[in-house]
Amino acid sequence: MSDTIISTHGLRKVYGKAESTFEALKGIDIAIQQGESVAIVGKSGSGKSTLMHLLALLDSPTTGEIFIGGQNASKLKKQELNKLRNQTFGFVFQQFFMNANDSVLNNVLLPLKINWTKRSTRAKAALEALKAVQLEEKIKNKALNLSGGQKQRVCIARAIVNNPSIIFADEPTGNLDSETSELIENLLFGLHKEKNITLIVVTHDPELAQKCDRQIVIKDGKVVA
Amino acid sequence: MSIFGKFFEMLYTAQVNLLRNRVRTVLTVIAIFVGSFTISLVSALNTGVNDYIDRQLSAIGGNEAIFVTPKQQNIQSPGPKEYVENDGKASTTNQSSSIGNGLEETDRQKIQAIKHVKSVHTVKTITATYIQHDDGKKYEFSAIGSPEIKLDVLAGKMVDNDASDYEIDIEADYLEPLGLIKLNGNKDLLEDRAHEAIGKTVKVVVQSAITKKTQEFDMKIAGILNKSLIGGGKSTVNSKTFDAMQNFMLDGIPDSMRPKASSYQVSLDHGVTLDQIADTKAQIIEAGYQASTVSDIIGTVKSIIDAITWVLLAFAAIALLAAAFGIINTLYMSVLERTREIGLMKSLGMSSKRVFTSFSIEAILIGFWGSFVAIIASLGIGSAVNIIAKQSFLKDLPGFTLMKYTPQDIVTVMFIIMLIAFLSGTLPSKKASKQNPIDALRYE
Repeated sequence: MSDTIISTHGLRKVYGKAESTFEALKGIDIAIQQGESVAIVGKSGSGKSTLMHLLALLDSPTTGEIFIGGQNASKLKKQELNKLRNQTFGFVFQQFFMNANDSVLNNVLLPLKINWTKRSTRAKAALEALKAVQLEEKIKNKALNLSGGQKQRVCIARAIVNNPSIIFADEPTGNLDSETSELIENLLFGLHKEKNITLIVVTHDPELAQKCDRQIVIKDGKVVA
Repeated sequence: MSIFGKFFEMLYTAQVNLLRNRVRTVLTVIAIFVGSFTISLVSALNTGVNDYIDRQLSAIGGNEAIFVTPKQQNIQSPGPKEYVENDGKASTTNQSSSIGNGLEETDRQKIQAIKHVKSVHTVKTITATYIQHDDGKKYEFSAIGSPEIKLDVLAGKMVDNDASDYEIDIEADYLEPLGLIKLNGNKDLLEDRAHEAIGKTVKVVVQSAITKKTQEFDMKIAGILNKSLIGGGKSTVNSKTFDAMQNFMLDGIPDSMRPKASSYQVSLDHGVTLDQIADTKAQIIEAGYQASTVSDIIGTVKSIIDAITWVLLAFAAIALLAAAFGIINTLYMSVLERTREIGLMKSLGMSSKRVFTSFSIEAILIGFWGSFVAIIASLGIGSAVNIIAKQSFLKDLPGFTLMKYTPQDIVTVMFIIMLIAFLSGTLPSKKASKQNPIDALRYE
């Protein structure tokens, strides 16, 4: 339980060039333990999303270092980085990011398609993941025709299809009504508990934040609590 | 997953992606189609014309050959003339058989001594009294003996100089008059039915110059010769036949009075330059003969055809250039439209290399479909043109297929188009692969 899975050291991120620079993160030092659920909270513009993107290795810091399982992320080879994104991380986005014209099944098995899993294995794993979010009857529907809550469940299925050890959720309930939000939250925390998945949630919803083991509060690019 | 599995997976995904924006894909494919169609037609035309010219050239000995004849030359009228039976009167020169005229062994040696001359072949001709099949009509007939050059055979094969039988390659024009095949007035059937004459026997009658006795030679038809634009195409018999006929006709004539070859075919050293050919030709003329080179006969025609081909290809290239911009545009729009999707796939661990490859495959697929449809259309148009040409302006040039498609040409054209498509696709593909996942995801 106490192994550090992600830690950062002096993380800074500066956007823009020359005079119009904006320093989104001003030196972040955090450590997240394996199996923890952490909420990164803060007002809009505080830099919490930027932090999550850096932690998820979707973006690179201006200065500072990120360690994933003790390994310096900036020293990873491209191939290792892609493998990490594909197999260790799972992503749930506020905007879902789905291929709207594709079927639910195809959306869920996308990570498996990317790592060249065999077709038969793919379908099986995707069905398994969809069962976990109780959407197995929507398998052939177009992603386009789903409700917001259903879409987010598809995204969760996609995030867990590769059995990741960390799930990054960027405002997972931001676009959903309170009833649906609760369903999604229950799903995420259920997975966190059952599969011992590390959960890193970015949110400005205090209720959601309270459900996490720990909150990291970001204000003006710094950790304040 | 195996490498093939991966390849087909990517191919399938690319095809699905292209179909997602059907209108744009179809428009780009049409642009590629126009360019490929033009190139394919021009290339077929060029192949057809050059193939015909090459066959004609090989019939007169290829590029490194000079035809030498004595200063005075007989002019032969084309096509067979019906034989009119000599009604018992003394035979006239017209109806007596004759053998070539003019060139002696000394001539051969003289020519052989000229610079760049590799060898001198004798072109032996023989004029028989008449030719006949079964009890049909009789026709005037002359033939060339024992060919050392390749003949343009419409059907069957070349006569075998080593064969012990009497064999003949007969001019296509003789087939119907002799009653060997039936065309019912439709000349277009010639090509299809020529083979029916193969293996049949024709009777050639020759007359001795001295004794005026006649003898029949029954010879088997080994092949049918295409009517030719130049030089060749004359009925040809094998050595055995020629020697037998000649011996009979010259029986009783002293050796010194026997006429020799009517013309020589002079082969030049391999790899001679055009200047050297011209030089050798000048020396042969100086020595007192008539000489004509391949370029005299056909070179100008060939160079004009090549020039026209290049001009047409240039137009096709312009069309393709325009099409290339079509591909760039299509893929570029597609990259912009799918920026978020690319971002998603990269954040899910897709490598830049694979993003680049998948967009490149889409580009190549556009090229493939464009060129594929173009070649199908071109094959259709080409065969229609061939049929029309054969019935009209190429009526007198049998064996001339105007538009000729070879598998190599088709593959080459498709390969070039797909290469152009790939190159046009690299720019947008590069843009797609370079994107940072989070920037791509945030793209509005």
